[in-house]
Amino acid sequence: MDESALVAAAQRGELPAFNQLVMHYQGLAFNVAYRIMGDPDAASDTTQDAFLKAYRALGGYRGGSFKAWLLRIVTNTCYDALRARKRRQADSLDDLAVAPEHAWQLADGHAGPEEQVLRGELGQVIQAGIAQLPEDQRTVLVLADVQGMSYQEVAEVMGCSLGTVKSRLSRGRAKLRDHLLQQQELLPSRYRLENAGQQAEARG
Amino acid sequence: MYGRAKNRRERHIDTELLSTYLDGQVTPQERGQVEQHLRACAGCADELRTLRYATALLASIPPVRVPRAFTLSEADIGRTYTTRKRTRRLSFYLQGATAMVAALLVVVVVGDVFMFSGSGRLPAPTSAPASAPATVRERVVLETVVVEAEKVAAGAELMRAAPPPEAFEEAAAMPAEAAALQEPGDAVSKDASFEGAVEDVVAMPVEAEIAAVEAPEAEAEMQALAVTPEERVLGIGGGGEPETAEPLAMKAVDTQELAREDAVSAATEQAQPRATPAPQPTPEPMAVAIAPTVAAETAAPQTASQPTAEPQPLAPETAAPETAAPKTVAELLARLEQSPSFWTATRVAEFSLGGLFLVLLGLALWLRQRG
Repeated sequence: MDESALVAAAQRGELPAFNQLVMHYQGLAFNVAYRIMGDPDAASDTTQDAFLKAYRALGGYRGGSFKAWLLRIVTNTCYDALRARKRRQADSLDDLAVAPEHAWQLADGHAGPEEQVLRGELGQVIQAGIAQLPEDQRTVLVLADVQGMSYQEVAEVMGCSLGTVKSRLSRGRAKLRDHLLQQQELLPSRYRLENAGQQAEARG
Repeated sequence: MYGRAKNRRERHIDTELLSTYLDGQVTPQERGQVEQHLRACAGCADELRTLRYATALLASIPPVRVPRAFTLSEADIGRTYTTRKRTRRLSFYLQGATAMVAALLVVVVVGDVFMFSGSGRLPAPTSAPASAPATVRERVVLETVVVEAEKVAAGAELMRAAPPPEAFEEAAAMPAEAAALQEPGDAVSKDASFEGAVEDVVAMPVEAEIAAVEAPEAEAEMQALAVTPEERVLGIGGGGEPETAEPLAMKAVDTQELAREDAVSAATEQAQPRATPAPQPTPEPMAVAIAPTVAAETAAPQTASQPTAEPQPLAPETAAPETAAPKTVAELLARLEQSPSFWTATRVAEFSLGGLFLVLLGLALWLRQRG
């Protein structure tokens, strides 16, 4: 059963069809939410919320990329959750600190234990850098660079022009690059940039 | 020479173009420019290298494992579905109720305005001459009374049927026989239908009281009329014993004066245009029957203190249950005097409907926003 048929069935109210779509997209949705929220519990709640919203909003889906339509709901739900978190004044240092990415969280089952630990450390440093970005730059960066989506897809998800995607992505990348150059000593040696110290100094 | 000049003109490549170049999302022309510049500019080449490093790291972070399935259960959907359905239904009914209350409010307000404009006058200010506002206020009170259906209407009819107080006053000044002589035929008919009147009397106090509560001017009239019929009753009853009848009649005069004082104070601003001097053919015994009870209410200290002197069982019977009346009537009068004609039943209805409308409207809007 192809995606459009599943979507059509879901629009008729067939929950099993919708759940097939959920199974297909929940990994992507959860990972996007996790990178934007920076916290697995919040990402879990947000993802569940987003799928529920998506089910209710199926009537408003008018073709196009279902993936982009779904991710738009996910990212908007993330923004709402972030704003709610700010309103609650819960933005304490604990919340800002990135939760350690334990080995069990990583989906790459082929990597050895040592490799998983190293990747976990890398993910933690990167996540801290992502968390410092403004919301729009963060989302573009996650979608394009972490999830490997095309500019066109990102533009569809964010409902903006290609030019906006390009500029947001370049600014987000530059800021994350600066963060990574400053945090070289926290990275496993294999992930360090040669002459990175000089690079960081040169950039002030 | 050409290359150097071009480099000088281009300056450095901005980060956005480098970032786009990194993704291969540039036109062939842009690609040519960037690559030519990078060969000559170490700074831009380094910028590109660090950007490529950052994107490579971002792409290398492994996906995070999904902690659980996010599939939806029938319960999730069902609950939200029924909740939304219920909310929508409630919202529908609430909107309907709001519309109905609004319509009712419009009807009442329009009716109110129409009535006032129909009389050609607005509610008279309190400083206006007493005679002028009397009719208007009476109208307002009449409107309130209209709601009270037949009972009050019947009571008012009877009040109107009674002769003007002046006539009674004269009659009261005379001895009982004189009173009987003044209306000889009447007296006979009274005698004849007296037993029926007694029954009416028992039934009347309640009605009379309702009328008194609802219509201040009716109350005033009742008081004005109160004593004279009593005097008549006494006159009729005391026909056989003139000696006792005379002092009683005198007492009745006292009572009448007392009652008149009350009535005058209550009716100073309420002239009695409705007290048509021409008595209608309404059975007089009825009016006579009402009177003793009201007299008992207003002048209970006298009548109630010596009911034994009364030759008929009528007076004690009616006076006894009304012993507590003076207090309540006095209170009632005070309240009626204090309360201006602003708070008529129409006004109360308007304000309560308005309040109800606002509350319903608020609820409906809130539900709509939620749904």
